[in-house]
Amino acid sequence: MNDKPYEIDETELHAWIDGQLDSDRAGAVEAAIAADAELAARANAYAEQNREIRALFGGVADEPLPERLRVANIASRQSRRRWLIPVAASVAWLAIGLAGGWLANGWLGDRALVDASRHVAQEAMSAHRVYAVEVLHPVEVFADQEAHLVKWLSKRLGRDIRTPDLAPLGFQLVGGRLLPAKGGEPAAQFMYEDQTGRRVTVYISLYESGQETAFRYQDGAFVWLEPEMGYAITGDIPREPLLAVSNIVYETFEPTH
Amino acid sequence: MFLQELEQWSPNLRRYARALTRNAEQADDLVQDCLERALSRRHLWKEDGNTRAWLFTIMHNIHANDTRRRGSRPAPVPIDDQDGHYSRPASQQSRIVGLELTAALEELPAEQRQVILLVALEGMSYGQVAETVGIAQGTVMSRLSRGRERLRRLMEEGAPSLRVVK
Repeated sequence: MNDKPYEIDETELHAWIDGQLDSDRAGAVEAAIAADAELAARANAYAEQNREIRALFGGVADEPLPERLRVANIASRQSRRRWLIPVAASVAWLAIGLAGGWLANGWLGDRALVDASRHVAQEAMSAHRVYAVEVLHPVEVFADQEAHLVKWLSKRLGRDIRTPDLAPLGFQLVGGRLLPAKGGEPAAQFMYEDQTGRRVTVYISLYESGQETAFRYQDGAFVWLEPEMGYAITGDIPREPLLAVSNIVYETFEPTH
Repeated sequence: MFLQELEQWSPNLRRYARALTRNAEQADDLVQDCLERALSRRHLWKEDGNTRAWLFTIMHNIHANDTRRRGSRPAPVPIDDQDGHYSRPASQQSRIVGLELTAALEELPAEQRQVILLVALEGMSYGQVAETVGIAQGTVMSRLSRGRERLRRLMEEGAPSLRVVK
């Protein structure tokens, strides 16, 4: 081994293969390889490993990313998960409402009440389907005239109507409109929109059921009844965030007795 | 800025994860875990720092934890993947006695495999590998030379003891 003309370090050989060796030492490695067939074979084998690894897996980086790995999707999933805390709270609240309100009203087995909720839910869904897709005329009165809108709808429904503040959930008021409900009674619809264009509508109708319920999920809407009113929340969003919206709306209209 | 950086490195993470796990589903799980963790630790991200090293370090830690949790059991590899995706038909006579590269990689200690893959796939400098894995640069170089030599022998001479895992 004494007659080896060029002493090189094993790590220098690898650095040379990976193009990470200073140029002055690179010359020494090249000379050593030229003088030593065994070393040349090894260097070649190591370089071939790199090439083969790249050939095997390199293409993965060019494959389109699946939806679940898109950063925007993961980010929005996470922000949705942050809702779960208020949602969990409202689920607990809902359970109390169910136990208290519905049982107290003899809810169990009361078909009339199911029909009433369903009726309100279906009217709300129809109105949502018709107007939420509108681009130019989604509402009669836009949010820039919110005070006028509230005053007008309150007057027509004969109730003190307010616009729920859904901004904490990322939804801004678009505006509202008056609608015909069952038996020629008026109903009001408020429309909200988030930054991605998803819309939720709050539907309030004069509806005499004589009953009071906590809310339930019915035909795609969260619905609850007061003796003379029906409320339904529908939207282009999954059930959990819709529940969070419903919770805020419920609190907004909760009778303060 | 932060989200764009994450997006930019996602394909690299996916490529490395695939090589690391040799299982497409498991690799994507790993990438997803990594991106989720990165997003939730946004406050630790430095705009002028090395985002790639940061992300690869996160992925490393998750992978190390996963591996530890599963014990030393090798990752499950679906048979169709093993036959189709990752192995190629033997093209040289050395294949007759030696192992395929992917099988040989599997025989290496994880610490050597990681270093070899980061250099080959990511083209990372030894310094960047050291930063990513959290070891000294000298250790990177010795793992690299030991790993590659082991790989070479496995591919030329075959496994010391035949191991059939299915």
